[in-house]
Amino acid sequence: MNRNAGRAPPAGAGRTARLARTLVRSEALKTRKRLAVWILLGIYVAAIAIVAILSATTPVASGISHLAARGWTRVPLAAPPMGNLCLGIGLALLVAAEFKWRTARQNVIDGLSKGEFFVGKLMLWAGLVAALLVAACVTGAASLLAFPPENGAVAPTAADLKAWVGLALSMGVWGGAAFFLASVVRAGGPAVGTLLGFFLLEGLARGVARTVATIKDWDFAHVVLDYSPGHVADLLGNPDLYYDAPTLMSAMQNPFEAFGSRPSFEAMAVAALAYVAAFAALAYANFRKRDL
Amino acid sequence: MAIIEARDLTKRYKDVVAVDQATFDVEQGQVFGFLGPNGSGKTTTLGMLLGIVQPSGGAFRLFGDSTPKSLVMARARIGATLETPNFYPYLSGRDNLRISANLKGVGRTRIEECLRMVGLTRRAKHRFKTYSLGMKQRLALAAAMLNDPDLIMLDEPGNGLDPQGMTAIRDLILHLAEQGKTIFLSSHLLWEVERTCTHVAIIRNGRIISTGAVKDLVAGVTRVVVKAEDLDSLRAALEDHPDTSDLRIEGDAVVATLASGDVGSLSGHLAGRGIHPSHLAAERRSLEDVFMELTGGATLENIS
Repeated sequence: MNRNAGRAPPAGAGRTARLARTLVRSEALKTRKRLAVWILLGIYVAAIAIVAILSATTPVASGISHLAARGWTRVPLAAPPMGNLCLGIGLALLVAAEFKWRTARQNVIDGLSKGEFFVGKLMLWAGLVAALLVAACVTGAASLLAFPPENGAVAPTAADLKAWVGLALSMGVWGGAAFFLASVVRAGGPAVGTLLGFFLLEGLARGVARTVATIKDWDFAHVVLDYSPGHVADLLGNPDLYYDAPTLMSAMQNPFEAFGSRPSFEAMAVAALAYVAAFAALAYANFRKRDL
Repeated sequence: MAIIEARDLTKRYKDVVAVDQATFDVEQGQVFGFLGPNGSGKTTTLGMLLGIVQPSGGAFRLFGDSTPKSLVMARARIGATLETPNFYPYLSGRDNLRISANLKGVGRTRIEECLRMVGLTRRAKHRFKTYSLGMKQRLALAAAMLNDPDLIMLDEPGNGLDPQGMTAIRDLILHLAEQGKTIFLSSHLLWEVERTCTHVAIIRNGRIISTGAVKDLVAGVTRVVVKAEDLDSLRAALEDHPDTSDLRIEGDAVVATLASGDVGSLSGHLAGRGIHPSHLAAERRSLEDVFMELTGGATLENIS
C-alpha cells in the first residue's frame, strides 16, 4: 500500500506553518548553492567597504561625510545603488531561471500550487532584501575593527533604524521591478538586461520630462516625477534623507533639488510600498495567466 | 477503478487546437501508453492533467476527484516528469531530489532508496549539468518515485537513450507495474510502447483516434505466407476462404492478410481442399502496423 496515499495535509494554521517551512527550506537551498548569489553579495560588501574606507580616510575638514568616523551605523548606507543593483540582478536571475529550466513547472508537479510557488518567490524577494541589509550592517560593524571610534561604539539611533528601513524599501522597489520583469521575460540574461534598461531609461525619461515640465511650467508633472519608482528608490537610499550633516553624496550634488527641501520619509516609504505591491500584483497577474 | 478519466479535454492556443476533445480512461494497474507523433498533443494533455496547462474545455478526474482543491490532493499521489528532466543544473543529483522530497514531504532515507533504485548513488553528489542524458532520465524517474506514488506519469521516458539505457528504464517501469502502480507514459517509440504497455491511446493532430488494450489492437489481422506445389490451386483455395484478402504471389509463396488471425481454421480449410502446404507462416501485425494504418503512414504532411 502506498505509504503516502491520501496523506492529508494538516489544516489551517498548521498547514500554513508547514508550507512556510517547506518554501523557506526550498528557496534557501536553491539560493545558497547558486554561485552568482555569492558573487553579487561579495561585490556589494566590497563596495560598502571601499566607500567606508574612503570616507573614513577623508579629512573631516573637507566637509565630506565621514561615515565610519560618524559611527558604524551609517556604513550600511555607503553604497545604496550597488545594493539595488545586486538585489535586482540576483532576484532576476533566481526567478527567471525557474522558467528557463522549467523547474517552476516541476515544483508545481511535485506538489505546490501555482499560488504557493509564487509565495515562495515573494519570500525569496524579502529574504534577499533582508540578507543584503544584514550584510551591510555586518560590514558596518566590522568597520569598528578597522577604524575604532574614539568614544566607543554607539547603538543605532532612531534615525539609523529609519535609514535601514529606507534602504530595505529602496532595494524592495528594485527587487519588485526585477521580480516582475523576470516573471514576464522568463530568461535570466534578458531579464537582467531589461531591468537595467528600465531604470536607465526611466532616469533619462525623468530628466527629459522634468526639463519639459519646467519650460511649460507644469507643476503637477514635477509631483508625478518626484514619485517615479527610480526616484523613490534613489531617495530612500540616500543618507541625506536621514542625517543632517553633509555626506559624500550631498557634497557632489543636492539630491533634493527637485523638492526644494528634504522630502518626507513617510511619503517616500508609502510610495515605495505601493510600488512593491504593484509590482507583485502585476507579476502575479502575469503568472496566473500564463502556463508554466 | 478509473485513476484518470478525461472527457472532451481541449486546449487551444489562439487559432491552433493542440488537443481536441480527448476522451480516455486509465484504470488502476494499467501501463497506459499515450502514443503519437511529435507535436500531436501528448505533452499538452499531460500538462493539463498535471495542472501545468489550463484546459480550454472539457473536464477530467484524478482518482475520482475533479474540484481544484481535491485535484491538489490527488496530485500528491502522483509522481511525474514533463518533457525533458527538469532540474537545477548547478545542484547535485541528491540536492535536486532534496528539493522534490521537501515539496512532497518525504525524508532523506527515501531519497537514498530512490537513488539506489535508479543506480545513481555513486554520482549523486555530482552536479546535474554533468550528467549524461540517460542519467538525467534516471534521476527524473527517481524524483517521480520519491513519494511512492499510486500513479506515475512519464513524458517520453526513453527519449535520447541508448539501447542499454532504454532497457534499464523499461525494466524499472515494468518493475513498478509489478508493484501495482498505474503508469501513464507518452511516447512516439512504437516498439517501446508495445513492449511496455498494457493499454494505449493513439493521438494524432490533437485527436484521439484509437484507444484500447494493446493485445486487442494488434490481434486479429495477421499476414500469412503459404507455400505449396501447385500455386494456382493454393491461391484459389485461399480466395475461397472468407477471412483472407490482399492476396498476391511473392516468389514461390502466396501472401495474404487473414482478418480473423485464426491460422488453425485456414489450415483446416486448405486440408479440406486437398492442399497440404509445405510452408505456412503467420506474422502477427505490430503496433507500428496499427499506428500506420490509423495515422495514414508517418509522413510529415499527415502528421502536421
